[in-house]
Amino acid sequence: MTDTALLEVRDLSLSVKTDAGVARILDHIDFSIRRGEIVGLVGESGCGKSTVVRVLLGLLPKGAQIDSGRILFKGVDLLTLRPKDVARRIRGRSIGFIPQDPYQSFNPTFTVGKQMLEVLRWSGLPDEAPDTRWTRAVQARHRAKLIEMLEAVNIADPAGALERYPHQFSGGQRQRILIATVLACQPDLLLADEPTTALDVTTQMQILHLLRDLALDFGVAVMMVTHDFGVVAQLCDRVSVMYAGQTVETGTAHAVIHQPAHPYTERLIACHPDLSETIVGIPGQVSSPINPPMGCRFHPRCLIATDACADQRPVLRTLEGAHRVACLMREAAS
Amino acid sequence: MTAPLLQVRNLAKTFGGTGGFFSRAQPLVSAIDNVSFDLHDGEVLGIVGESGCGKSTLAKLLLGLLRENDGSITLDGRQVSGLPPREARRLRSDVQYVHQDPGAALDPWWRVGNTLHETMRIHGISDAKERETRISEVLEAVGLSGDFVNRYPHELSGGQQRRIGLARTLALRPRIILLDEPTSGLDLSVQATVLRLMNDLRERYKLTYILISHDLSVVHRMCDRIAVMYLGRIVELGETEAVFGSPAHPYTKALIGSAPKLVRDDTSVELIQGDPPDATNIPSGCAFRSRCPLAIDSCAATKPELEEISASHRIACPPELRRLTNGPAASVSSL
Ligand SMILES: Nc1ncnc2c1ncn2[C@@H]1O[C@H](COP(=O)(O)OP(=O)(O)O)[C@@H](O)[C@H]1O
Ligand SMILES: Nc1ncnc2c1ncn2[C@@H]1O[C@H](COP(=O)(O)OP(=O)(O)O)[C@@H](O)[C@H]1O
Ligand SMILES: [Mg+2]
Ligand SMILES: [Mg+2]
Repeated sequence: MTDTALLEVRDLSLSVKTDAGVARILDHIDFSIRRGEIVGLVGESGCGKSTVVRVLLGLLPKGAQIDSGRILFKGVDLLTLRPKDVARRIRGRSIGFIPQDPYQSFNPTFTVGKQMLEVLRWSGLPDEAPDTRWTRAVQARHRAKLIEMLEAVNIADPAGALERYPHQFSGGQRQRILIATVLACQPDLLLADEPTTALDVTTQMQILHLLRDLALDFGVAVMMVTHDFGVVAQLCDRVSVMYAGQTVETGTAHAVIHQPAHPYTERLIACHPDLSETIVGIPGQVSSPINPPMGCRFHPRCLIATDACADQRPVLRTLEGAHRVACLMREAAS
Repeated sequence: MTAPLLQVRNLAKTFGGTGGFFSRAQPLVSAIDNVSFDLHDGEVLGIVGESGCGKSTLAKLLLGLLRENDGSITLDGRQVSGLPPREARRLRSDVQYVHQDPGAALDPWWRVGNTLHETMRIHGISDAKERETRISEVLEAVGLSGDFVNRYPHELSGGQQRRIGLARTLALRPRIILLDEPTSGLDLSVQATVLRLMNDLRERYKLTYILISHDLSVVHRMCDRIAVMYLGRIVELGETEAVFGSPAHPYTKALIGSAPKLVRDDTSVELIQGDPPDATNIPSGCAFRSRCPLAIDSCAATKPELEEISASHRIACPPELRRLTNGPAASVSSL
C-alpha cells in the first residue's frame, strides 16, 4: 500500500543552549510524509523550518539536545542512530537535500561534472556495494548516470554541461544541476529548503513543475520548505504549518488552503496577493525561542485569542480525515 | 497635464566590446537599448523583468552612477545626461536610491547612527545639529525608536534593515526614490508592513517612486504605471490596470502566468521555457522571439518599437501577432 508513511516525525522537541538562555527551537513537531508524496513545510522565517531539515539530515546545531520525539524513516528511528551512521547511510543517499542558494553549493574553480562525480563517488549509486572502489569503469557508469539525470532535468547538451564551470550557468540551471545530482543517488526523500526564493518567477515555476514531474517519474517524496502558500498550491499534496517551532496545522493542501483551521494559517494565506487588492500582512513578529510566550505561542499576534490561550498549550486534534489543528478556539467551537 | 518630472529618451548603455591595451576585449553587452519613458510628479512607476534584463543598470544611469552611450535624461526640464559622472551626480541629488540588500549596504562595524551621519556628510550636510534633527525625524518616520542609532546592522531584523535603508535615503530629502527590489527576501507577512510604510512615506514627503522588482504582485499593488523590460528594452508600458487587466505582450502574459497562484491550474498558463538568452547574444529582431509561443518568421527581421494599443498602453509587438494574442486563449490574467 502506498499509504504507509515513509517519514514520521512525532512529537519532536529540540533545544539549544545559548548565552541568552535555553532556546526551545522545536516544540512538539508532528507530521508525516508518504512515499512519492509532496509535502509542504510552511511558516514565516524563524519558525524552525530549516532546523527540521537539519535534524532530518542528522546535522544537529551545536549545543542542541533532543528533548522528546521520534523520527521514523522507513521504520527506523533516526534519533537512535549515531550521527556518523546517519551521515554514512542516509544523508545524500536515501535523503537528498536541495538548498536555497545553488551557487554556494558549487566550488567555482572546478567543472560541474567533476563536482557531481565527487558527490556520487562519496554516496555511490544504490546498486553498488558500500565499499565499491572508484575504478575507471565505475566512474564511467557514474558519468552515464549523471548525463541521464541532466537530461531528465532538461539541461541541453548534458555531456557538454559536465565540462563547464558553475558561473557559466544561470541560477535556474544551477538549481536543476543540483537536483539532477541529488536524484542520481535515487533517494526516497528530497528535502528542498526554499529552493526557488532566489529565482525569477518564470524560473521558479519551471522548477516547481520539474519537481512535480520528477516526483511522479522517480517515485521520490519531496518535503518542500516555503513561506508562500502559492507554492504549496502549485506543488504540494499535503502541508504542515509551523509557527514558532510548533506544528499548528496539517492536512491536504486543498483543505488547508480552502478551509484553514488555525488563525495563523488563515492570516498567512490572507497575505497571498490573489486574495486581496490591498496589501495584507501579519503585524508583529515570530517570537524568539528563548522565553517564548506561554500557552499557544501565536496568542500575542492572534486576533481571537482569549486568556485560556495564554495558559494552555493546544495539542493537535483531528478535525476531519487527515486535517489536524492545534487551537483552543477551534476546540471550543466544535 | 504638467510636464513630467523625469523624461528619459532613447537611453542606451553597452558594456564591454572594446579591448583596452592591456585587457582582452570583453563581449559586447547591450544592457539598456533605446529606453524611453516619462515619470510624473507623485506617481509610482514599476519596472519589472527577469534578472539580467537591465533593471539595475537603468537605475544607475538615472542616478548618474553610470554614463549612458546614447539618449538623454531630463530632470525638471534640465538636461542631466551627457555630463561627467561627478557633475551628473550633483545635479541629480533629487534622485536617491534604496539598495536592494540594505543589510549588505550597511557597514557591519558601524552603528546605525554613524551610518546615517556619514551618508549625510558625504552629501554635503556639514552641520551636525541639522543631521541630528534629520536623524530623529526620519527614524520616527520609518517607525523606529530613537535608540536604533546605537544598534549594529546584525542586531536588526530583515524588516528593520529595510526601514533603516529607507531612513538613510529620506534623510537626504530626495524627490524621486529608486527602490531596487524593496521586498526581496522578506516573508509575505513582513512585505506588507514595508510596502505600507513606503506608501505612507510617499504621501508624507510628496515623493515619486521608481520601484524595481521581479515580483509582479508587489508591482501590481504598489504602482500607478508599469514598464515591463526584456533584455534591455521596454516591451510593455501602461497603467497598472491595463497591464494586469489586459496584458498584451506575450512576455507580460507569461510573467503574470508564472506567479504561483492559490488555485492550481495546469491548463491555462502557457509557461515560457528556459532562461532569457545570454545578453551577449541577443536574437535579431524581437529579442523575445526565441521563447515566444507566438513567434513568426517576420519577428526575426525587425526590432518592434513601442506602439500605442489603447490610450496609455503601449507594447512592442507587431500588429499581426497582436491579433493572435487578443484571442480568447489570452485570458491568463486571473489576478
Ligand atoms: N544554532 C542555533 N542556536 C540558537 N538559535 C538558533 C540556532 N539555529 C536556529 N536558531 C533559532 O531558531 C529559530 C528557527 O530558525 P530556523 O530553523 O532557521 O527557521 P526558519 O528556517 O523557519 O527560518 C530562529 O529563532 C533561530 O534564530
Ligand atoms: N559592469 C558591467 N559590466 C559588464 N556587464 C554588465 C555590467 N553590469 C551589468 N552588466 C550586464 O548587463 C545586463 C543587465 O544587468 P542588470 O542591469 O544588473 O540587470 P538586472 O538588475 O535586471 O538583473 C546583464 O547581462 C549584466 O550581465
Ligand atoms: Mg530557513
Ligand atoms: Mg538588479
